[in-house]
Amino acid sequence: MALIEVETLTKTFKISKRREGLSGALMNLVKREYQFVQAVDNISFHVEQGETLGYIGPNGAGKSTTIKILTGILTPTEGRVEVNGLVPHKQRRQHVKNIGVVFGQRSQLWWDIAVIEAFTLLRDIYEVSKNDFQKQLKKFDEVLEIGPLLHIPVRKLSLGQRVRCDIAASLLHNPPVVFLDEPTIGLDVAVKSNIREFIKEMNASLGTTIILTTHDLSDIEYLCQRTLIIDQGKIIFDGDLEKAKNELARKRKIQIDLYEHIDIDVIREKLNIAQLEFTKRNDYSLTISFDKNEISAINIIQTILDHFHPRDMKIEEPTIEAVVKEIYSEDI
Amino acid sequence: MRSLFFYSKIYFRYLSQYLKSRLEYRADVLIQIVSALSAQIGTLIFVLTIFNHIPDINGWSYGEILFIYGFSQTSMALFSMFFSNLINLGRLYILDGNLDRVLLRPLPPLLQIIIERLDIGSFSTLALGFGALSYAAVKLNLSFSYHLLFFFVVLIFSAVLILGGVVLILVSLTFWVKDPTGAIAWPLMTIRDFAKYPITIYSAPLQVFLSWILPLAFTSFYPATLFLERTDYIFHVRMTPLIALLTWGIGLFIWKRGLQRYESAGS
Repeated sequence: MALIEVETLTKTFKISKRREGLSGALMNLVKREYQFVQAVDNISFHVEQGETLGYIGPNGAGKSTTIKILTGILTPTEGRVEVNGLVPHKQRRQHVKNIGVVFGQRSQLWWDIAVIEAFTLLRDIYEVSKNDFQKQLKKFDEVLEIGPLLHIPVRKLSLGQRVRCDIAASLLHNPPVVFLDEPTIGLDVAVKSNIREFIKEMNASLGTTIILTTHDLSDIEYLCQRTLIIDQGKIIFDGDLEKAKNELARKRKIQIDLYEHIDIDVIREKLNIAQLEFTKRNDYSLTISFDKNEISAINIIQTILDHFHPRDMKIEEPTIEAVVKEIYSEDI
Repeated sequence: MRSLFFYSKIYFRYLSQYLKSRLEYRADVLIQIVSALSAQIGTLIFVLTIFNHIPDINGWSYGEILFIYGFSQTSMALFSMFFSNLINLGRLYILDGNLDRVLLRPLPPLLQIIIERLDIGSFSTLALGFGALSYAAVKLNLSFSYHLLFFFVVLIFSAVLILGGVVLILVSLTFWVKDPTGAIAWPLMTIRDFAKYPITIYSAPLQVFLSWILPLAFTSFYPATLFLERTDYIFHVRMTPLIALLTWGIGLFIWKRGLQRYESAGS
């Protein structure tokens, strides 16, 4: 049995259609029309213990809804969810002892009290022994550098400081499963890499299972062996994004600058390969797009070298962003 | 019982954290206490003035009315002190999504919400309410045996629970009816003033309403009659703890059902 099991999960929200303007608002009072939105639409996946799973998708795709169901906050409309053998929304109190949750957008600490006070309160709630607590604090201080922040009220922390404290707070009880919902949102490069390092370390040393949602694909590249992409409530990709980059982003581009004036028709004739796409950038420069599974870049370059006088050539590798974009567009 | 010990410990931990966080804003605490106190003194002067001119209403003497008033204020103050955050449940927790944070902790969510805030200003209401109650008791020469004292504690406790239960029922409706202003609980705040006076001064439909629909008469008038040695309402006195259990039962039922409909907020 997998650590996290999601079977045919669906969550439907009932949303009232709002009319525009004040008169529309008054009309809404009298008569309301509802529409049903499937935030999560019949999805299934399993996560094994020790995996770091990336979970990505555009805004409103259903990422947060899935996370909120897995953490026991929302009750699913249909389907089956089990984490560590427990049904989150039914055995919520037992379940949340096994998980740590960080919402990058929203702190879970008490606003007005010092960080250390919040930590000790959490220590008592989760019944962590004083010894373990000290050990955890020390560990968090080493990587997340939270030591100097402990005596500052949460409301006075900067975003980066706050997120680091939030991460520490959610891991005080050493949970085997951790949900990180956009933990790096709005953070600067230094803090981001700090947090990534910490997540990687935790997964490697403790075998913690991690579910990570993010809009920053470099988080995914750095941390996740496996990624789920969700769009409009449906899972449209499940696998290794690095592999997908090689398989899916077949489109390569070569940018060629020549010493002579470019005549596309001449070049096309010389290359004599169908399925090539030519885009003239200016009189001396053009871009050739091709499918790398069908045509080798070497062929193109060789032909160009044989017949023309290139000044410069550049092969553009697809970025992970482009891969994800392609997956989105294939789905639609 | 280990869990009882655990929960009391958590309760006091939350309480001390709350007080610490309030003391971060010393001026605010002071203003809150002073303003609550002056509002209470204002009401008390008003009541005393009225009662001084009207020696009895509808067969209820000045002392008796003051006793009922004191009972009502005492239960009201204890309610505000311990359950005041329930009133914020709709807007602050259900609509703004703060319930997320609460649901992620291994404690009963209602308990967490209740103990996250303690209304310090209610101390002044409590002092004045209890003061009025004691003054009336002395004036009326009421005798308080041990078992009456025990009933007093049970009845005050029940009255506080009834107020909490009614508020829980109303705010839990926010799961169905989105109510961003918290207006669902407003009528209660006005209607509760009716409970400060003997219920017999109102028309029959209003009496039925205050007894069996919005059972506020059970938070003041009915339980108070036990100590005033009026035997006509003994049935209602006995009903008081049952009404308390019933309102909480209904409140918890609606709350639990609503929790399954919780939609959180944004991402």
